[in-house]
Amino acid sequence: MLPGVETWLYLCLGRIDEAWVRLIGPLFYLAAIGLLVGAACRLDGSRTAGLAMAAAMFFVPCLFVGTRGLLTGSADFPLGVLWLATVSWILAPPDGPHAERLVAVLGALLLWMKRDGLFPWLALLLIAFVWLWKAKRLRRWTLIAAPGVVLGVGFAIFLAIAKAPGDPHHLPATPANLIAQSDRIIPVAAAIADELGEVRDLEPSVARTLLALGVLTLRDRPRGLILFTALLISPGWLRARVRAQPREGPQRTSRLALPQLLLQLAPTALLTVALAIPRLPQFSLAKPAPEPESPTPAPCP
Amino acid sequence: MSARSRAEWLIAFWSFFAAAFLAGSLQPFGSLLRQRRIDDQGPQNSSDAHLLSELGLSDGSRQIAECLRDVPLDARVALIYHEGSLDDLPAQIISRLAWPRPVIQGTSPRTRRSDEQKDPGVPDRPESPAADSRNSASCRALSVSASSTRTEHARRFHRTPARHRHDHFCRLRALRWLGDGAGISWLERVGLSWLLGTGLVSLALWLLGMVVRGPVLIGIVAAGAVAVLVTSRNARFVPTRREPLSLIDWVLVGVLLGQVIFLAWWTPHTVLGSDACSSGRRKRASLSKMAAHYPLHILAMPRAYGASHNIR
Repeated sequence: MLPGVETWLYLCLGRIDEAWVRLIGPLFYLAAIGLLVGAACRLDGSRTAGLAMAAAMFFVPCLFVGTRGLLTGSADFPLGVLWLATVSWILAPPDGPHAERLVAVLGALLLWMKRDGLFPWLALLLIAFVWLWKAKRLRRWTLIAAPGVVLGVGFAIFLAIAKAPGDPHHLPATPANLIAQSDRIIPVAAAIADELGEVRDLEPSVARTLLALGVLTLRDRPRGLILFTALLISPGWLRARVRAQPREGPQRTSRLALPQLLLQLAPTALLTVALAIPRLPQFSLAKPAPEPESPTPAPCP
Repeated sequence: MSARSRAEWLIAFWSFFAAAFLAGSLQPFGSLLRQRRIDDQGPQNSSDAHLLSELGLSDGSRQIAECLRDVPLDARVALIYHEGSLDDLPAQIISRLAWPRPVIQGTSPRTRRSDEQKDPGVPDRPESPAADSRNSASCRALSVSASSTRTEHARRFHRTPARHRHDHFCRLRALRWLGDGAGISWLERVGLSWLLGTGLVSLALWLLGMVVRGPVLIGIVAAGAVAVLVTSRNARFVPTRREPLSLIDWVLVGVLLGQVIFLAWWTPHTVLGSDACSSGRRKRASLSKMAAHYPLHILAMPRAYGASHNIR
């Protein structure tokens, strides 16, 4: 998606101007603020919690520091914003075709944003399967999957026709490669574990997310499980599997993996924390309010 | 435990949590000012910063443009690198700067010899690029040497006013087909509009770029975006219940505004990374193959050219 937006900018300007391309990242950041606050309101969270987490997003490690940050033109944070929007609509109860269409479109855009979008998209399909199976509307699962399949297969065919060069850093995720490179999984996993221990920047984010996941799961088990899948199981496992096939050795690849993964998952992790924080009326010290039997919809700005 | 004491415990817990999070997260900001920064506000300032740091080449984009000033636009340009690999960022940036001339890339004989020592399966190649009949007289060899250009000072570029038609078409409200907007706050609507709008524009560019090019392509994509904007105006957005912001909310809004101001100040000083400055992505290369006026189309990349048209 980002190369397309840059293409559009250059086409309109008639020349290369990197100053304009530099604006794309901050615009995604502003979009993330809106999505975070809006989703916290819509999902019966607290507006104050949404605003607080939007403000906390500024302090996510690697967002401004490093080579893959928000202002470098990398697609990792925009992918995270798209994943936030997608997950926020999966968390809403399936109340009609509109939410499913929106999830389908956003899921397809995950694939369009970046090749790594394949992993959250597969996680989306898994969650949507459970989501629609419980709502007894399993047929609509194909509608959610269809845009992504059409876009992904279409673009793969296009790349083959255009004879585009392959990924210089990773082997294709084919069964033959997986088997041939299986002996490298352990060294790669060890390298990633070592890096996780070294990178202190990641610790606050990981601890915060795990804590919020635990609190949310205690309060609202379905949402907690969905977010657990969205944040940890599917993207992390699938990514680790493919990352275990570097062309250039495990160390280089693992070095690149963790900050990228953090940026891709950080907005959704912040939404998790926003949903885990109780609504503001419960904090009122001056006038302790009685516990409401059913929470009222959150007021939105 | 009463509701009041539970609220007190919760406040204490989340306050401690927020303080610990902020204290831990502030640590990386120490390195913010040590990051690579741009020297000017020229249109290629990020590329210049990379060329300076990687090659020691000051004002690189202007120097390369001057090197190529007399080279006809239909002539092929050979880029010969003494060091590094053709996948490196400087190699890709220089390739882009040579546009619209077709680019052939190769490594110098010295580098090639060392490569061949590593890989005995590579067939022998002649030493000189001129020896290849395919790279005939129209092919200019451009060898960028860091040492010869280090002494020149960077010229300050001033950005010219730009037409930003883009802005009109990215703030799309393409939500009509997706629903009536019930329960969606305006903040979320703006965020979704940006995401869906950028997706629409980039997809339209890719798909339509296969059949039309140039101003026609721009016109059709822009018209499509405007059409979505106009039809979305008729969508029935259900107004959400508004409640005045509390004191804490106002404080948080102030913090967010401060962050936005910081971004507005900091963004012009940052250097774009390899994704934005180079062609490392096959998607970019393939997209630009279709949109012929896109300057980056030559970034069908050193790897592609190096494999199929390597200098012999």
